[in-house]
Amino acid sequence: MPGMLHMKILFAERPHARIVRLDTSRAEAYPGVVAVLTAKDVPVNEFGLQQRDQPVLCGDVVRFVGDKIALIVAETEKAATAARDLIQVEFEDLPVVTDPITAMKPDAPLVHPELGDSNVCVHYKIRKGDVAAGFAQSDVIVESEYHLPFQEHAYLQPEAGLAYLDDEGRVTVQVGGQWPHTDREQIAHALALPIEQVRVIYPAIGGAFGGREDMSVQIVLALAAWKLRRPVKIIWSRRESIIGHGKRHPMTLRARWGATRAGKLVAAEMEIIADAGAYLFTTNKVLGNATIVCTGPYFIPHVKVDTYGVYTNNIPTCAFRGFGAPQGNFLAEMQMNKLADALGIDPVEFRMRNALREGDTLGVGTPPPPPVSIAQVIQAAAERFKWDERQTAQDESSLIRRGFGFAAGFKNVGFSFGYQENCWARIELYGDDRVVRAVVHHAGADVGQGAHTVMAQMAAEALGIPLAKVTLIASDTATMGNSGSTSASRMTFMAGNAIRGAAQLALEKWRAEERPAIGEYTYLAPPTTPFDPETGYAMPNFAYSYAAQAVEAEVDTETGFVRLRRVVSADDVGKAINPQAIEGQIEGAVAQAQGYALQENFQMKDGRVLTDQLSTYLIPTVLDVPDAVESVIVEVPDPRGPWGARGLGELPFLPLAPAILAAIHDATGVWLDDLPATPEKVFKALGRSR
Amino acid sequence: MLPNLIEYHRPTTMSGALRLLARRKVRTVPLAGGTALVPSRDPSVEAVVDLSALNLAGIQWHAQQAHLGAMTTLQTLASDEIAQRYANGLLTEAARVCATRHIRNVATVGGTLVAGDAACDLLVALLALDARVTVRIRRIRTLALDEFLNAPSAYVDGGIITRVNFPYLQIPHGAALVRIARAPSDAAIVNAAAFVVLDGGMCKQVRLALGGVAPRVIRAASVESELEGRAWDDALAARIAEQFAASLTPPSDARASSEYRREMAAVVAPRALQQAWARAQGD
Ligand SMILES: Cc1cc2nc3c(=O)[nH]c(=O)nc-3n(C[C@H](O)[C@H](O)[C@H](O)COP(=O)(O)OP(=O)(O)OC[C@H]3O[C@@H](n4cnc5c(N)ncnc54)[C@H](O)[C@@H]3O)c2cc1C
Repeated sequence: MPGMLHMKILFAERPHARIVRLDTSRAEAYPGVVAVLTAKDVPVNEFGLQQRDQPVLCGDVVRFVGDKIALIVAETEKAATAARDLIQVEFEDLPVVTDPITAMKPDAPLVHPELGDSNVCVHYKIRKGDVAAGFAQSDVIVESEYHLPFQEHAYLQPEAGLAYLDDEGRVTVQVGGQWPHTDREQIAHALALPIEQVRVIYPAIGGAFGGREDMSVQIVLALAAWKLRRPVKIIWSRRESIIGHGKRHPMTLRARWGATRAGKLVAAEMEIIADAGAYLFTTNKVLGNATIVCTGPYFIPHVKVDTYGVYTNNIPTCAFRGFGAPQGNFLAEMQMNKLADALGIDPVEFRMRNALREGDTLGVGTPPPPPVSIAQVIQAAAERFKWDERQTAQDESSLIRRGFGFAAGFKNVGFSFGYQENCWARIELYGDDRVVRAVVHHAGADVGQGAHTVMAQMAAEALGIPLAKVTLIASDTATMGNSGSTSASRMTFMAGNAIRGAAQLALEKWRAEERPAIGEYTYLAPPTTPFDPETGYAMPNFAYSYAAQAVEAEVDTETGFVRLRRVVSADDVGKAINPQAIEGQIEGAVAQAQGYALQENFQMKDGRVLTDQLSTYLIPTVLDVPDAVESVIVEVPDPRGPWGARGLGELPFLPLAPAILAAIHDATGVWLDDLPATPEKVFKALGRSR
Repeated sequence: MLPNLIEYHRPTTMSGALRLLARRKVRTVPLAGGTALVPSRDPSVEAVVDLSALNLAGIQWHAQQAHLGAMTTLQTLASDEIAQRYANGLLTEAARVCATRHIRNVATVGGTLVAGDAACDLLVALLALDARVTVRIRRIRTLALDEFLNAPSAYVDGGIITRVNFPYLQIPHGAALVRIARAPSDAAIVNAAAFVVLDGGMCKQVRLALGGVAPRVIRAASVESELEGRAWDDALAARIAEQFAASLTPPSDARASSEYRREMAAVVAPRALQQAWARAQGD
């Protein structure tokens, strides 16, 4: 853009410290520097999606390495970088707390003393039935403690954006994100501007996986462009991206499950402790999800859960494909496989005996909305895999052992816990006697999964016109209503309903001879309710999707290497609107979950990131992924979904890790309870050491 | 980048290059592919001598010896047709796994020797091939790669590696590279290269080199001498290699612990020997 400036950010690079002195004078004097902005330049210095607990720029205390201290805006990126290194900050280090279990103790250093006298920021309880009585009826009880790691989103495109004043003088931010309207609201709040003064536009940027739900460059770009009245651009390096955005929640999950000899689940008691990192982000919602899902898609009469989120000086943890469900589901599926093993019942058969049927209640005391398709997806995966015909005999002379594993999963579609889900769309029909062009306006973000393609397809279907006649204009808050976030596997479901509603209205106007015929519609999903604080009783969600996976893996017993050979993933999408896109989501989720299960090893020490590059934080490449991933698309229509569609994006991530660990157990007789199952960890567990 | 770099030279004669490198006042070092030197950010370097105009690139296969010019890129090595066949393609495989295509296109044999990475697949392979290094300072000196790796910078200080050579044998032999890495595209945690020459059922020559188990890649001389001159015995070879590996005290780092490295050395060493032997028999 003409006159465009470049921005660099001075990050704290310290896990917990007080800023004693901040001297930007040398940076300001550096040739080419236009401005150095600090806390005193931010009109309302706070933001946060769920709770405004984070300063835009820290002027007093920094709470994790990625906290921002100053913005350097210059004519060139080089000048901005050089000037950044001239800023002098004197810190007084504060006590650092990085282990959530330690952070829960009464004498632990507080990350947010201003918010109360404890680092515990979330506590949910489920009390269903009577677990003591349930365990008394149980013939077999399996008890475990699981440890799940951070995970980095590692999208191809690091955070980047461009801010400028548009023709109408609005501060405009073009950026990759997931929910343009909340970005706008958070920018307006921090800049103390009326909401109409701020405009957010999303180009279709790939890969978000939840990591773009919380603010990264949005507010700081807007601040600089607003103050300087010039366009400002920033692109984070990979390292800045890795220290600067949230991660999947590490969790310690303790579980005690009981079942009868006949293979019926009776009782489950769980304690989940999650590392929230330095700020809340969406930890409260993520943990709500983990709390619901930690019983698995099974009926258990007696359930007790305590879930805690705890502030630490680690990188804040946030949304990441599955949003708490991967961890909760991991617990459930590990327990299921261990119980099946202890009872001597086939894991598929054991799941079928306990799978939720219509009317069965979850831990929250209410049933999921029908139809519940868990039994169908379990059967579909087992059939395609030919589970019953698998070769279970081992070649005892071989160092390579083969194993098979099974797991299932379920995940809500749409926002939960009493939030009134809504989604906006507008359709304009142009033409004379026939519709020659339909223009669909929708604010939903495409994050590489093809949401915009599917929206256009659904519009064509609803209008009864060919796809070629549909034009989609997307993701601009200046001209569009709120369509909500591309998260919670909700976009197809919500956008489809909104587009269908708008199409109906537009067609009515068309028939009434209005030209152009315009239909604008906001779809409201069925209402939900939050947890009861003491019992967890709730009707938290209006829709769910169900999945099951079977895997074959090989374990090199001399080295601990696990090679994933074959994955069959059966996912109930309700209605496959774009089967190719569905396969893409399944294959991508399998690769990402394989990384989570076997390879991705995000390491922090004393609040600092040790794996801040993709050369140290390894994600799967084409050389690592399974030889075969077979997608089985199951269609059990959800009557509330558009054409019966449910959601999909997160679903195929859920079962893979526990299925792989079950395969490792099948191959070697050893249960691993920690991820990632790196070769060194598997090797140690095998106890082959000399 | 090199923060204190003030001079760049690209001489066309060896004597000109050596004169520049001999200067005392300006700290001057050779520049090959630059993939190790440039990211090192070495503040002491004031001048570089680009070796690319000295005719040091290229591979020659003579009757008994193979010559790798010091400026031969790893990609040239990886795509050399004879290297792809000789010793079961040990060198090309090593070149391919030790760097990605972009790095192979510029990184050189000479630079790899000086960089001396402790788990470098190519160095392990060259050790197993019994490579020798030719260095030119005031005079020309040829020494075993194993000796050179004791102190690469001391041996080349003020001079230039011109080539690496190793025996090009026409008698039955077999070779193998076995590596363990967190992912196929990552640097090795440990690796082993073996080279075996047969004479009837006898082991005429055995060479075993290991990486990732010590501050530099090493040769397992004791294993070699115990096996040489004996009838090949798979189990014996495995046992001796395992014993050797188990006696090591490897370093720990983010890729793996010392213990895991030791355990894995005892896996890759016998595997490499056994594979080399099997391939030698297949010849
Ligand atoms: C992203 C990346 C990944 C890498 N991964 C690996 C890896 O997995 N394994 C590995 O072993 N290495 C790795 N390296 C390191 C490096 O690429 C290799 O060691 C490479 O082979 C060095 O060769 P070069 O020609 O680029 O050397 P240069 O960088 O040009 O030189 C390296 C050193 O050798 C000296 N030198 C070079 N040629 C001569 C000569 N002919 N005579 C005397 N001195 C000379 C230089 O002065 C310098 O001190 C990696 C590097 C990068 C950037």
